[in-house]
Amino acid sequence: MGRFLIRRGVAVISVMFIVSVLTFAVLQWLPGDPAEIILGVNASPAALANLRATLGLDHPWYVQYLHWLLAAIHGNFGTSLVFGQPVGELIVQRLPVTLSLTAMSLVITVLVAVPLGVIAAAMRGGWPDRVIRLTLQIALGVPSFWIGLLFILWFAISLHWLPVGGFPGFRVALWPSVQSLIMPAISLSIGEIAVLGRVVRRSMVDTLDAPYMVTTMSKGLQVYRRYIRHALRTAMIVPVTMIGLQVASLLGGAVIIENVFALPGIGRLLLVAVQQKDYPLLEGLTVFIALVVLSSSLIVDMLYAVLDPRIRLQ
Amino acid sequence: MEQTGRLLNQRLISVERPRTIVLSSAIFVLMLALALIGLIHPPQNPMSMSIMDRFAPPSSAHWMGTDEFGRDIFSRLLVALATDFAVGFGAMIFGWIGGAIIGAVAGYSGRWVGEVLMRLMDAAYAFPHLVLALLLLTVVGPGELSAVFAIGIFSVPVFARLTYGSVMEGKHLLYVKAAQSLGGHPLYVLRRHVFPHALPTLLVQAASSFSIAILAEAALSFLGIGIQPPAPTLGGMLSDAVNYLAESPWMALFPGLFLLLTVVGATTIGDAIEGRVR
Repeated sequence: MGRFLIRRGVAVISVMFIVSVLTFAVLQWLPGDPAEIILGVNASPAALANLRATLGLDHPWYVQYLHWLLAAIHGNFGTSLVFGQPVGELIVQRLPVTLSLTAMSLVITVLVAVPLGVIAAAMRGGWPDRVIRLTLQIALGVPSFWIGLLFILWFAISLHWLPVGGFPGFRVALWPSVQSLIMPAISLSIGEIAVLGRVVRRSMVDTLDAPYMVTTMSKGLQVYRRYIRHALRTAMIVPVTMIGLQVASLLGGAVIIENVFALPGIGRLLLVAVQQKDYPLLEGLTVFIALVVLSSSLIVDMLYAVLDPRIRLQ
Repeated sequence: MEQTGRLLNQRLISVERPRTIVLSSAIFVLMLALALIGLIHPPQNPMSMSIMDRFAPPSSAHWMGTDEFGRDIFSRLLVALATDFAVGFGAMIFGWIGGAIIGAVAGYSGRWVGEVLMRLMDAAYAFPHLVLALLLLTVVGPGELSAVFAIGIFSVPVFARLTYGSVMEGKHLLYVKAAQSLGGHPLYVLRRHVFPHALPTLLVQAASSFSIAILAEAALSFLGIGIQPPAPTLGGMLSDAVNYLAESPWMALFPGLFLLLTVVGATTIGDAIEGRVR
């Protein structure tokens, strides 16, 4: 297990390194002089030169990269051009919203997809299976922002049950904050439910067909629940690891959903950075997201090794 | 033993009934036809504005009503569909070709090179594709080709993996070995033997990548990145609809619906092919 961890750890670090170099290199080559962007085009040449020296822009690119890397390791990703705040601070500020949204989505996804998948597998070929599979098929194609808009139309504008958007903040108003996350979380989950549901069903079907299940039947395990329990534990290995991968997918989806529902999270931050060409913020966000994705896939791999002993012995 | 298990389960394995395939193909072909109409000759000029006719509900003059500038929604929808189809196909083909090249190179290089390349592909694939597209579009700038590039890029790892798998698998097939021993150039062997073997899987993946590409394009244009207004896009029309949800809710309904139908059609066709292959 230890060697497995070391190998994966090395892989993570090397990929992070590549990501940081790529991000830095690409953003360096973009047109636009950061000093000009900050001070404005009409600033005096002396002021520009001064700022460039302060920002370290007159050093060769590899030196700049080293400076950036050292700062980054200390958590200093520079200052946002748009917000004027340190990038790290901005990310930390916005993180709780995105985390809550992602967590809520994940919970909804699992609570809906797993039962659906299991039922579909257990009643394979029957009408519940066909209905569920058709529903999942359609859900796969539903654009999350469209369904979000329809939810707003229905639940917020027509029925006034839920807020149209915005996020008061957990400390300011707990229940309204949760309410403002309900529609976004559901919109986000629909696509993920479709994916996870199919995986659960396929995995369950494969498990139910395995020879040892015949044994359980011949042992006389009449109780349906025990039947499900035996099959379920093995069948859940793949879906559980799938859930880890869905974190990355949810992060991507959060970018759109936060913009539909005006939630002040990482997704909104990213969009603003892209629109305003806030390069320090973009660099910081890219590295942060890469880190999150790599960590979740590392956790997924470890989880897989823990749950399935056959992997560990490779 | 597995056969016994299935029989004992007393359920038939459900096979895709031809009805589903026909229905989904019909939906997809319908959407494609609408897109082609949008491309060649939309019923009305999608750009012509008429302030007096703003927010008209569906009528015989405007089948789906008009938007905030008095432009005919139905025509805009068709043109938007055409644009998104084009981007979807373009991105899918870009991913296919790029992935095929990388996968083939990886497959024919030494074991170590292949593995490293595939690891890189896996890492690239894990990154949320929307974020990747956003970042790429920042660098490359807006526009249709940029959109195709940015969206196509995240299909590359998948196709690379598939091609690599097929090449590795193909290396062990008897007729491939025979072709090689007869002196067949690797490219010839690839084209003539490995590729037909891999084709069904590639087609299934193509349907899937197409759907992902279209949804991604819609998301990007919804956010205002990629293809710029006033060129109509499904995502862009949805984004406009947000501002006028109260006044004319139907503006939000149709673009998303068309998107949904296209994607469902494509993925069901892909599934049907997969069902046949197994």
